[in-house]
Amino acid sequence: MKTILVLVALAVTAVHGGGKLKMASKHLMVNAAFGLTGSEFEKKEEFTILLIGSSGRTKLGEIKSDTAGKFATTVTIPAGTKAGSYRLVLEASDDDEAASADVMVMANDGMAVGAEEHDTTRHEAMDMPSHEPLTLERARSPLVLGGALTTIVLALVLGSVLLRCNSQA
Amino acid sequence: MTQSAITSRLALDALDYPIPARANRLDFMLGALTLAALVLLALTGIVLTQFYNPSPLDAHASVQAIITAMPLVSYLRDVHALSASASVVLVFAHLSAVFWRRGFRNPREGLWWSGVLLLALLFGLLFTGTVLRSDQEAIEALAHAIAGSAYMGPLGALFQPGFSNSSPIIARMYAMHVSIMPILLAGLVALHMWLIRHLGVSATGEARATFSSHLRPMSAFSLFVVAIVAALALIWPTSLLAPGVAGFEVTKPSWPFLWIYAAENLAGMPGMMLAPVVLFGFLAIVPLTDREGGKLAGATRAAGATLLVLLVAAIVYAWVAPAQVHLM
Repeated sequence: MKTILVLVALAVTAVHGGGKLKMASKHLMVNAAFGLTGSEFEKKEEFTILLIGSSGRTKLGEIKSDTAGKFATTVTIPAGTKAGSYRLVLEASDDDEAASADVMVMANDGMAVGAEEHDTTRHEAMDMPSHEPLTLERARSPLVLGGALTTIVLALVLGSVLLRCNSQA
Repeated sequence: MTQSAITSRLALDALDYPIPARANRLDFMLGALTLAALVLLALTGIVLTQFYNPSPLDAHASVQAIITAMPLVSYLRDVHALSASASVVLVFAHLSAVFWRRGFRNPREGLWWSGVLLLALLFGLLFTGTVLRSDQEAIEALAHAIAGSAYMGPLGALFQPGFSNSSPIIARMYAMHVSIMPILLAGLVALHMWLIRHLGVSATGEARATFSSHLRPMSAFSLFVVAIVAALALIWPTSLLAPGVAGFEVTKPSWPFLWIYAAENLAGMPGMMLAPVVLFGFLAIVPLTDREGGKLAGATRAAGATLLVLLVAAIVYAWVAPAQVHLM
């Protein structure tokens, strides 16, 4: 069984106890298992784990939260599942969605990189949210700066000329 | 080809229709300046569509790539964001000016209502645009919309993640942002302009001018708007937060939504739902309550002024207040 090493969090607001879903990766491999944990759900509540996409709903399993509203399980994406975008949904017994997460199912064969490598290089979802802007090295170009300054000057000059013509008319 | 030949071939003489000379003042051009900001939004937005990826797992990375690897697109993104802010400032200035001179009175009620719908659409575009960043603020904005839409029954279904199994909600927000809402906006702008052309502006006075003479100062001020937005985009580039983590509230919305955030701070989810209803409900009934010689005219004007003061006060309050948790 292939396990995914990088732990990235996906927390999802839920109606049923405001529960949060966490999984090893947003990228799930066909015919491979992944760890799924949940917390802050209603105590002792039963859920159905579904994979929902354009091809329909696939039941991945069932789970019951413990007395602390938590659960931990391992789920396998069935062989034959088409690669693509899906939603992983935790459905309560009253058919309400208790939590969901966007995931990408990837074919197991023909991959250029393994799941672990893929996840660490491309997706760095974080456990803790932040209100601070990212410190990014912005792309700069003297051409763009020059073009912007020229546009600003031209707009100001042309606008002034138009206003002057208007006052003389 | 002479100027007159061009004029006759493009039927530009049709622009020489008479308008009140007073309409050449800046306060009568605020609508046109809003349109200039919207055109800037559309042009920069078209460029952004070529580089933005609306897939849930790649959206944030594509915005990050725009900022870090594409100097021109990154600058146009900054212009896009700032022209959105400019359009909100200008549209509220336009709304206030028309309200104060009672430009919504018979026969211009339809003109006013189309403007109110345009304002609502502008907020829709701002919201969907925020969500597309897929950063923490975007995820929280979406969580609020999902929570709010749950109260709206079938009307809120579009904002529910389970509405479509084949298309993730961010892709549907993208579709709204780049096609559905702009099409509606273009239609409403066309209606708004048609009504202005045929009902005229609400300027008083006997002196007349031609609309073609109006175009010169209008174009001049529009160019100033472009220059200001382009300069501000250089000075204050738009930031991006870390990829959003659902289930948390640590950010505040962008400034055009702060009045709703303030209402939510004070009254929770009902406050968030009620604030837009109060604003847009009031704007919708203005032409009905403030009629020529009507008893409620004075009260309507006082209520409008009070609402504007409250709106500004709410934005300032939410700006300085610490971020609060509402949905947990």
